[in-house]
Amino acid sequence: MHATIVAISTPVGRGGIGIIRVSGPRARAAAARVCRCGLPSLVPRVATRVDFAAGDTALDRGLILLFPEPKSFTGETVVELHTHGSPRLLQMLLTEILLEPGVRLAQPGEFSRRAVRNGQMDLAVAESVADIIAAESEAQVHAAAAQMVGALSIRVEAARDAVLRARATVDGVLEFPEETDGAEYDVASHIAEARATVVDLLAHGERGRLIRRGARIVIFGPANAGKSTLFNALVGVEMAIVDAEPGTTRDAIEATLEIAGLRVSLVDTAGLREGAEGIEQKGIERTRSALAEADIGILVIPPGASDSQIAIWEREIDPSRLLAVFGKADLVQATVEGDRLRVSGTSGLGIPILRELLEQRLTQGGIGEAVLVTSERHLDALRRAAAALDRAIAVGSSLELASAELRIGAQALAEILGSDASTELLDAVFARFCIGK
Amino acid sequence: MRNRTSKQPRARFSWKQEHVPRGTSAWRPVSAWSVNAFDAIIVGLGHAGAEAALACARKGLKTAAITLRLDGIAAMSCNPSIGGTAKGHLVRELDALGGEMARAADLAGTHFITLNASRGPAVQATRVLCDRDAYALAIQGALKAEPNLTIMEGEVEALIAEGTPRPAIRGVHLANGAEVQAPLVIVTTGTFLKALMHVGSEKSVGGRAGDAAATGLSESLKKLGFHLDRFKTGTPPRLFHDSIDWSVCPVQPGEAAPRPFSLRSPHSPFPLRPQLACHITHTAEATHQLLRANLAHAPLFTGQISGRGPRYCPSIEDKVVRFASRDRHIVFLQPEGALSPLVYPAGLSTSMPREIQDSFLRTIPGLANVKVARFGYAVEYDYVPPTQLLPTLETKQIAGLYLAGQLNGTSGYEEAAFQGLIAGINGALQVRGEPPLVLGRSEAHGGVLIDEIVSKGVDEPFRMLTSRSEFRLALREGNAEFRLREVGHRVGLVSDAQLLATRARRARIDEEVERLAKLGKLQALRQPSIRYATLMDGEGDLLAPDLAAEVEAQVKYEGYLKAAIAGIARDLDVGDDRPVPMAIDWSNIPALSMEIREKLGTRRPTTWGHLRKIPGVTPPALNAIAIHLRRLEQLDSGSPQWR
Repeated sequence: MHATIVAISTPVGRGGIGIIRVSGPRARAAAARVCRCGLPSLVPRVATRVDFAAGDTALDRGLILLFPEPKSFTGETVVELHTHGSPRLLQMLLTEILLEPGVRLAQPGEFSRRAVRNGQMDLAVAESVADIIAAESEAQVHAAAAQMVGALSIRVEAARDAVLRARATVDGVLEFPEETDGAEYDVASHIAEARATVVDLLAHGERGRLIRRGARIVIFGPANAGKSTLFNALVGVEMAIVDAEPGTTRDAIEATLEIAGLRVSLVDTAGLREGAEGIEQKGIERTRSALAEADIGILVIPPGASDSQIAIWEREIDPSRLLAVFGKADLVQATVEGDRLRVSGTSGLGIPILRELLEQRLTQGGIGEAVLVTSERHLDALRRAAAALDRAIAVGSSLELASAELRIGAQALAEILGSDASTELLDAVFARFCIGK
Repeated sequence: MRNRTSKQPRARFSWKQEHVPRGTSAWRPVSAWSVNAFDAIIVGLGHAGAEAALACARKGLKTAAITLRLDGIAAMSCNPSIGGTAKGHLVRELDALGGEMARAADLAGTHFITLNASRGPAVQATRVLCDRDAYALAIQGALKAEPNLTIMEGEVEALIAEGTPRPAIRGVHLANGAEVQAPLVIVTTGTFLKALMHVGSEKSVGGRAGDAAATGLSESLKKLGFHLDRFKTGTPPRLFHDSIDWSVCPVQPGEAAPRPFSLRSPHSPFPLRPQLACHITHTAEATHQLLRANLAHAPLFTGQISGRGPRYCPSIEDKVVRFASRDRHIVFLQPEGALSPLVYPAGLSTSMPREIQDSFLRTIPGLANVKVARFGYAVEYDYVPPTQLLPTLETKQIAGLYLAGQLNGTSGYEEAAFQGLIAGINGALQVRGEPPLVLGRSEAHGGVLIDEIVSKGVDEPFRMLTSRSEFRLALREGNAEFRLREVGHRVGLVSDAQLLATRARRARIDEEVERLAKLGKLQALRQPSIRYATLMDGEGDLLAPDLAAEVEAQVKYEGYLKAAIAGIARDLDVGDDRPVPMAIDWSNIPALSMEIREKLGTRRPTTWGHLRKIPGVTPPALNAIAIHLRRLEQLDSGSPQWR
């Protein structure tokens, strides 16, 4: 029998309403303690008006809701007390409830953890609860919502089923060699199918990371190309010092903005220059390390740069992440510059088109509707699963090795759903929950 | 400390079996007025009972073995073969620990085969078709050779246990009123508890064709607080050898120079008896049609049999329903012995009515004119869900009472024998006051078998599979002796000379691996296709094939095992085998929350592995328990496991 847990589920501070949530076998008794005339007769999941009290003192008039087990968030009997949102009032009621034997304060994430333990949701869905609470951008809300309705779980389960099917075939051949003649020819295709499912999920994962972490866009290029003006134009506020003197920006400057619902860190960097020394040389090194982490690098080319120069600058980042534009377009008159966009931070020329281009780049693959893997934990598990399946294919006809790899792959996928999760893993996951959830 | 048995009265009567011809009434049952005191009582002498009895007797315990029928000792009630995938592994492990099954199979073997011979060494498995009578005689011979063993014919009707809070076993009551006493009782009654045989709609009481059932013992177990459940199993019809048209059935050749199953058998001359031909045939579309048309008469489908059957050994009527897309199923026609007129058709287990068995058999190529010696039947029986057992196979409920074999819900001779051996060893160790033997999952497939059934329970008759083991690559038939003979020696069932022989073989393998390294050939041998014999051709003396195979396995799996085991060990600590004392008072550990204390009190975990898997037991809680246990051990330096 588990202890009954209680917590104030609304945020600290004054608000219109405050909610105390109680879950566990003593939930009714605990709630009865703070009802002036004892627990009124309650229809499940229907709000009932009630006078709250501590001891004989009436404190507030509010609502009470009963969710009998197993049809509740945690799978246990849950009672919710809706009061007016005074922190002091909530505290008084909480203190009274804690006097009930067998009732204790909930730990962070304990309600969700019980929900997972009681099979009300899997671990990935539980994590989406924390995600939606912590969401900072629109895309994070969408991704968390998709995960909450099980979009990720369904895909991971499908992948895991494919792995288990492959393993069942492999082990069937190994355990019943006389009855399964011919089945070994299906093994390779079964493993390949399982791998394709995982790799597909993993591709979503790379995009999902943009949602979880936000994207990094780094502006780079030779000194005095107009990078800082462009930076300011994109951010909409003068943050970078702009000067005609080359090398004005020595440290990377960062600002946060939202593009296509994504949280984007925009970074302005020191100009690339041959023969730079001292402080400026350090600035250039910082530019290179910023580029290493960038999702998109915007190369700003000064007017009149030669093709060979441009080629050298373009080598600073791999082509898939490169977006090259001509800067200081306001100073250039009627020069044809190939198919590259011409922008000017000063006049605003080309900026809306640049924003659109960035949006397109960041949302290719369809952020928002698609099933997304946003968590590093999920991504790590998927990568381990994919690696195991690659090895399973590599070992060829050594089926006992393939089976061992498939086992590792299935285990990694099970970690996402929490079906095979160790206590340590659960502790780590629920550590980022807040109390009352 | 429990009472040492030496203080109890010695047996007054013992009918030494060597004076008595096998299977005659001269093996008198114990009479109503007699009281017999022993160190150990084994109830049932099937494959589990025989191993348990031998282990106890060989460890010097004055042992009584009680069986329903003397001539049913070590009978192969179903298929006449020993081994197979995973089962071969179990038999090699049992042999390395000092068991008897492998040796008996070598003595009785008429057809040896290595399954998965073309696959990796971890999944290669030996299967030996035996002369059914020769096998039983081999085991009976081993039993007869034990001076400490007394065999009695009779039905054990009740178990005697006394004491609180955990009663201790005191002995057994026989159906004729006699009482036999011992502080250790190992029950291995197989499928005989409340056994019911089904052929079509006919039912008869009995655990095997021609045998009775045991009813009293079921009730006695229930009275002692055990929960019992029901399973079913089945056996195919037996066919007359001379009624089969062998010319249309392809031969399944046996190995010309097989490797003996037992470390105790000589490599030459081997095999020990003339080898027989096995043949293969298949069911036909007509067979399936006939079976489908008559499902209404199958006890399995009419609801007459309620117990769950084994998924891995389904009856033929089950197979045509479950694998409806298959147009044929393989059938192995296995002669039951050189002198036996009978053939065992493996793959045709059934409990259909006799006339339907007769007609569907005739649709199978080679069986058009078949004569059936005995029809197939299903047996339904009581089993004791094995979560009621400790990993030693002692019951949690009653001290000194052990259960082993099919009674625990397993399936197969090999699974039964392995449990019998472990129960025998642990029972004897307990009587001696020595620490128990619990094999880890990383040590033996047998360790996996017992861990699976006692910690997870069974929902169908449990068959061992190598894929149940996360350490499959490390648990090979070929290295069973290196994994377990030291253990067998430690528990007293392996002699010094046997152990030295194994150590010498181990040294030869290690030296050869070293030599390969010096020659720079290890990398080459890691390739799946490169064999030791070709690689080392012309490099001086080569190892014998069995040792060479181990060298190959070791080298080919090495890197792989390291990576795989590291990954697995994260979730599944190898150190989880450490026992947790039974009688620990969980409510007495102040550092634990009430919730956890209550939970531990009801679950009563027996190892750290179990403890860790209980939801809510957090690392800090484990730490608190560890500190508490260490304090207990300091207070009491005896052997806490047996309290």
